[in-house]
Amino acid sequence: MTAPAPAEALREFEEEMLAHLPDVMRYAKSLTRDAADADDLVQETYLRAFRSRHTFIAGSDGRRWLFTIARNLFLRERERAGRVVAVEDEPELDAMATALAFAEARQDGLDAALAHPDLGPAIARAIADLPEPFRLVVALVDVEGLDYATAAEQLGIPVGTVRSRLFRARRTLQQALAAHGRDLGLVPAAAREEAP
Amino acid sequence: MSDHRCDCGVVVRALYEFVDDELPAAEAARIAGHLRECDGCAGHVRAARLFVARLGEAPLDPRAIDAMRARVRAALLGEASDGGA
Repeated sequence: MTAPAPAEALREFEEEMLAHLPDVMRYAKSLTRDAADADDLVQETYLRAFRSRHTFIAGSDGRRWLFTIARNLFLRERERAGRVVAVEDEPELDAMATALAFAEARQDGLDAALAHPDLGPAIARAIADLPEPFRLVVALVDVEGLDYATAAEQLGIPVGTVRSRLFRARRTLQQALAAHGRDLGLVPAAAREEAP
Repeated sequence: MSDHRCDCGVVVRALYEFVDDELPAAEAARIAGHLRECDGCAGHVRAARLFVARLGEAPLDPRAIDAMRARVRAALLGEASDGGA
């Protein structure tokens, strides 16, 4: 088969892959925290994808393919820079604490915040504020949609650690979003007073 | 029917693993059975699904998307001109 001319190859690539740009931007932001780093990661992801476009199987999920490239680039750079942060993990305690905290957060403003259409910036801020080990698990599981086992494999940590970090991160995010709901005046004062 | 029952405590403890489809099939089926009979737990699961879904869908400024699209296209054009295509 004859390879398409350069201009044609570029046009085809852009047509198919730029449709996923907002998703890739969102994912890069959840991985990196920093806006400029996220933009660099998005650009590098597209360049790598274009160079290795022959490895993309036509008809498969382009968004998933771009996410994999972005994740690999990010994790390799993180490892190279030695930016691996130690953290204490307590799986059992975290599962229980998160379970109890969820009911509390719902009463305390989370439900009202989730129903609010302009929650996006608050979510992005809350994710960015998470310490990196927790943010990465949220990025891989909640933004990319990986299962626990695949996320564990990608991050080089046990599945139980993914679980405990994910639950702790979500607990922090619940509290942040509930607080946002209260700040917006979305929670009746009576409900706030009753919350422990 | 009785083997499909579980109590609310089981649902609360396994909430996120249920929502994330990470539970063994038998346990997930027991919880699903309980949800059909318990409005409180069903509401809890709906809220957890909504919470998790919203984490993955933070909206972006359309101007930021346009600027990034222009930047990526310029980089790709440079790459293609350099013999990358």
